[in-house]
Amino acid sequence: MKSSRRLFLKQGAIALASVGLAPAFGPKFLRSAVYADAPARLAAAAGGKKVMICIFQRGAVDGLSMVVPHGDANYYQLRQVGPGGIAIPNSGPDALIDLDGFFGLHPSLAALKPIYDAGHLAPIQAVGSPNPSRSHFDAQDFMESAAPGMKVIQDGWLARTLNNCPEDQANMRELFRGVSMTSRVPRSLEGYSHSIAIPDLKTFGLAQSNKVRDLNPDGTPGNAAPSDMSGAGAFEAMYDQGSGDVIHGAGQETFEALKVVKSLDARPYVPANGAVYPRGAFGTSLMQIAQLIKADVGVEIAFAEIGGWDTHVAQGATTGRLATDLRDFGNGLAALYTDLGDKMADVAVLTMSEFGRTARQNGNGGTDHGHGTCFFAMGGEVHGGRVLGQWPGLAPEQLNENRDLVVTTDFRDVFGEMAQRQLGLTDLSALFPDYQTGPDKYRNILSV
Amino acid sequence: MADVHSERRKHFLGRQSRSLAAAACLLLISGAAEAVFAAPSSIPAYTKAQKQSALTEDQKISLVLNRLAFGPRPGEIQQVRTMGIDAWIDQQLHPETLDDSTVDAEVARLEDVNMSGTDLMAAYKEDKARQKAKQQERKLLNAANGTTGQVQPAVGTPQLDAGQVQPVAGIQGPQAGAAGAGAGASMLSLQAGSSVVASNFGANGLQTRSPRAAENLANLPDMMPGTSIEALGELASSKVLRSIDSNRQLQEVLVDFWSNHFNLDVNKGPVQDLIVADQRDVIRAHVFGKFRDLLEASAKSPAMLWYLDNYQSTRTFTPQVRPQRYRYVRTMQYINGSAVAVPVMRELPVGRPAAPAKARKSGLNENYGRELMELHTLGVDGGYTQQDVTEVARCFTGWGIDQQTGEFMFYPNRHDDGQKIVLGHLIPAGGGMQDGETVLDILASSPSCAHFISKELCVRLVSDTPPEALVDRAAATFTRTQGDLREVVRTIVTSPEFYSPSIYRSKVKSPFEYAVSAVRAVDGHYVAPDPDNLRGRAAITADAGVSIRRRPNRYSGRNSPSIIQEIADLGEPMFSYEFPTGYPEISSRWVSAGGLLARFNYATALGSGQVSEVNASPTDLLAGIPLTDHMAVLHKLVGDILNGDISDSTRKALINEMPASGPVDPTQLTALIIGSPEFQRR
Repeated sequence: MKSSRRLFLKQGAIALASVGLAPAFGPKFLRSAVYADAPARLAAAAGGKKVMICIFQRGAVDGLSMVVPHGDANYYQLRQVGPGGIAIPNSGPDALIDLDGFFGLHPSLAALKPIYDAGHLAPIQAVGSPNPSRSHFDAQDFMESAAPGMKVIQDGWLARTLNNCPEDQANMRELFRGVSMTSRVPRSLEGYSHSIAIPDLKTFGLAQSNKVRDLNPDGTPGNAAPSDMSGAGAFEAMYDQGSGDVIHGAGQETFEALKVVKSLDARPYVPANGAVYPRGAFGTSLMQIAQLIKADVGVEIAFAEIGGWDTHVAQGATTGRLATDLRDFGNGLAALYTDLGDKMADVAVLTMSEFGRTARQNGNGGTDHGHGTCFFAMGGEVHGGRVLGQWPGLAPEQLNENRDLVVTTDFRDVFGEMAQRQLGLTDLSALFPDYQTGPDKYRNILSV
Repeated sequence: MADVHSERRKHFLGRQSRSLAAAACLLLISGAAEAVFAAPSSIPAYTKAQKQSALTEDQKISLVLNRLAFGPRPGEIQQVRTMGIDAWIDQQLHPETLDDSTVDAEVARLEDVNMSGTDLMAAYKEDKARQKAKQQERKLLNAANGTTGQVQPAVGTPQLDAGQVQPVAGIQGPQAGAAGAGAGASMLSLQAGSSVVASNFGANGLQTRSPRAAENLANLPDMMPGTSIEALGELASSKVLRSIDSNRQLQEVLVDFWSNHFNLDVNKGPVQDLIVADQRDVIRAHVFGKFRDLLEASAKSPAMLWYLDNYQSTRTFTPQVRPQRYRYVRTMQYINGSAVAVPVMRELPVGRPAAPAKARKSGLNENYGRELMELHTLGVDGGYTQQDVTEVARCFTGWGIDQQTGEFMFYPNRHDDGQKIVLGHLIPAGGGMQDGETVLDILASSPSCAHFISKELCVRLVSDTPPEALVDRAAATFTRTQGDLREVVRTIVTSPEFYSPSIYRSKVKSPFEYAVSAVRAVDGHYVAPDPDNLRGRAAITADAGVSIRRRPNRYSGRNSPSIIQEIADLGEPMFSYEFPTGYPEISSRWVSAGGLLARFNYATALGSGQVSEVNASPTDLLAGIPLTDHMAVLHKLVGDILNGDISDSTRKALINEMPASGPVDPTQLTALIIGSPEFQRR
């Protein structure tokens, strides 16, 4: 039976009336029965189900340092190589990794080169927003809502994607369609009533009352045994009523998610194919996304974020702050690719950032807020092995306000292509209010 | 069952009101058709209240205690009822009239919160140098043992000349001093050709970049190792202590608000320690003062100057290009493979090759200029342009930090003294430090600022979507009183809109508010770790290192996490929001499945007394009530924690949790009530 909880939650009010015996608030035994069947049904549906992973680099990453336009004569005029400079040299032991004679990868992103060569990774240069704002807050808001300049839009583009995707009808379980490995639901997923934010799968469980958290063998406190749900029933009962209250809704989602996570393999997750994720929150997020995808819980869109890209000061070149962060970034993506293995045929990863940075370095060995930046697309269907987008050039007259990279690809074209070609969205006007995009504007990131 | 509802109804409904209520019911039934089939018992309490025409007295008090305080303690609603809401608010607006000696005495034990800028900077730098020394030591030991290859030289250290061997000071013993050349070859002295170089050690064995840096470091006061992280831990402890236990609750709420407004991130360099001074001298000192003073204190705060990079912002200057001189040398060369050498004049540069002529070098950093307007004063729609951002940044060039004292210092030679135009105001050349002050004047007196600040305060104190009329009224007070923050808050909390039913429980508690209000609700108290003993210091350090200084890490090695760790696990690690925007004030942003789960776990831990540094015993709340009298227990706990105002569905769920017979488990019941949907709201 199609869950009509979505219908009622959309209306927001206490509207339960016409729904009748919908699983969400029928007798509990019925709900359990419905969901008990789901795993088997989902596995059948999930075979070949497409997934999109969005990774937001918060803080405005320097696209010119990630994918270096060394073939552009102006690059080495604007930025200096050597001590205090932020330019990546094109020769020597720490040189950039050439991609196509014009662009090269930052040496810290070396792990991505084999994926590029395999034709599954494509950088997209000079992507950004038509809105001139260089405010992190605004630009992230505009990008996550995919409505630059329009502050009235409340929901995020991933939410609208999920709400308008045709696969929707076939889905039994809505719960993990939009999952985010963050502590709060990101702006991009706001508006999708079933979006779920899980900061850490390992600790996603209910502690038992009257017990301290169990210790792992190595002395670190473990999470409460997620297999024990005795406490859950009590809390769950309080959130059981559909009421239109956003907290009740989140509460119900919590307990459903708990059941799903409980059904996952309790043994520690071992990445496949020898993939090694970088230590830290970002690596863990990606690993857990891979875990959820492989567990066939119904993930359609996964979201992760990584911060620290706001390099106003001491950005560094081949060593330093940016280089260190890029190493984690690249290694994480590569590990995800390796870990997912064959499943990459159905997965597309898109990285994004709210804007780029100034073409010249500032007085503090860093860069200030700019415009165009570089996104990455990675996946089995991606037209990899080349740098996509249209390069506007770095000559003074080619720069935006003589300051930063011009935007030649509206990020909504990238988002639209991913939503349409990866997830099967057909109604692009529902996704982008006030903006027309289509195959004529796409950069051909994905095969049709 | 003791029907709290019926009791209140008797009090509230007179004859006329009863018919009104009947009419309201009819309206409910006819108007909102959906509601008919929804069992009335499933409507949560706050919705019920929002359908009332007015809040009850108790609900008003509960609202006040949840907005102007971090939630009521058991019995506090009765106290405020006796005193009168207005009197209570008046007291809170003048915290100096309230006795808070108990908390003051507790805070006094956390001495680090009084550390001067000098001490804080010294502590930070020395601990950093010690850290570097340890790393360097490890690298050298590895190199000597052949476990790793080349070791990178410390930045700026001189290279060894060929053939010279120098012992590496600091490895041989604690006394370093000037590395004596040839003072006995230690096993760690290395041949030339390796890139390991003599490190520069200050007198106290600390690693620095250059002899001059070593000297500067030696001139700083000696701080005990580990102080840098302890100071942060004590700051966090003091904040939690005050939020839970202080009588001056409104002050603490506003401190929390303004700290978030002038956000700092302790993960950025010395902000880790300088924030201690910022909290004391910027936030706490000006919460009830004038906004212009608060703004100036923030602009001059070393923590803010570092966090938003302004201490590095300098005027644009043209580097002197040294004309390159050449010398001409006659040499003999074999040309083109010829077997005979011919004389050739070669042109060789004299001295270091001159840098190529560069464009004017801008040392300007716009970060503070932008955030000052966008986040601190005018708001993103406040009517400024990119040009204004640059001009404001120029005004603040030279506003920096004295690295020795850790205090604010103005550097005239870094200041851009040209003429500037900021928001249409002309600032003539030659203004020096006054330029920045003028900008602060312009911003603080702008109508956009009045509106922006008022709106932010309303969002925190009233609702995620405060009524425009209320915001405008508060803005008018702001303008009329030249930014008297006490009066602005007074205007907000004495407005009729403040007590509207739609406001009651309309905001979701932030993780900090949730954690603190839960402790207060069970009449708990915070017990700061004792910094005078090893265990206390270890606890303070663990809190700061694990929960605040880094991203929340649930694996702290401690069995019972402290409340500071819990707050981090709930999703709001203290003082650690990366972006200057601060944690969301729009409270709906805090609702998520993961977040709720963390709250349930916290509620369980608190209920069973498993949150360390917190003394809370729900069993004490039930003194004199037999645990076998289930309804009495329920009534007491729900009365103490939520003033009895819960929905029927929550009540039913709680009743279902009771055992069929025998004593009820107060800890589990308390956990459930704290984890209830009603308690998530304020």
